[in-house]
Amino acid sequence: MLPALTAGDGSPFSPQGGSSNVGRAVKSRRRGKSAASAPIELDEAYLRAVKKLESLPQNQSGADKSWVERAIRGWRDHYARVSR
Amino acid sequence: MDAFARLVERLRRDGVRFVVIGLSGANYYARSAATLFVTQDRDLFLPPDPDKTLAAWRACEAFGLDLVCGAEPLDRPRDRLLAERVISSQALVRATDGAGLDVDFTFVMAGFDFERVWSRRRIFRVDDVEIPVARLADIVESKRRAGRDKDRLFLATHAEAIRDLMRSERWRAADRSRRRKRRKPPRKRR
Repeated sequence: MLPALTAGDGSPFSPQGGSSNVGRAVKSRRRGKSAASAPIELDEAYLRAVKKLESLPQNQSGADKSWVERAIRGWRDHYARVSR
Repeated sequence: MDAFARLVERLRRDGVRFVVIGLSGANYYARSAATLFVTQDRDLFLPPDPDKTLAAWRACEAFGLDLVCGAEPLDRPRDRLLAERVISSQALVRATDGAGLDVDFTFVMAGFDFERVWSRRRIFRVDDVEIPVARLADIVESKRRAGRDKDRLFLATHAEAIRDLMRSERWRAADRSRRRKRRKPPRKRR
């Protein structure tokens, strides 16, 4: 098990080590974390649907997903061209 | 070939194990472009291995990607010591070309350790490059466990995207329950 979030919080690493921004990044990540609210409960039908989706032939290992990348690239290019 | 696919090919060639998680992982299970999550971030879940982390950073540098930790460039020297530190602090390092390719290297997937996700991964192909992707059920469960606002939004949006499957699952469950009831012999009256 890794020690959780130690850098920058009494870190055992020397400040002369030249890797100072790791601690800052961790601190800012902790600050930016939204407070955990009530636990999320998932609908049984949703979980079964997720399993069903996973079991579709097109979602098995070896499936060609180039279309996913093409579609996302298309979206990205589209939004990059948008101007006010 | 897509820039991300090229990076993946390089990482695999350098023996870096990783699994695509998060929204970008869930996208590979989408049934159509209409249900894709529009995101330019790719979340790559890495094992806590300093040498391979370093190899991943070097691969990114070879592609001309900038490495960022928090809001600043990842410190130098980018050596094993820094990789150990990043791993122990579970810091996120982003590789970016500043023009749409943002790859987040993370050591955290809520509720899962790397080996479990790796052993259950699916391998999809993009431009003939094999991309290891976490199981959708694992991505969903990790989002549930993380429980942040953005995870709730993902789960709600995803449920909406597969509502037809959910509906058919509800019908099936209702049908099963009806059949069970029908099979029960009627009670004898005294």
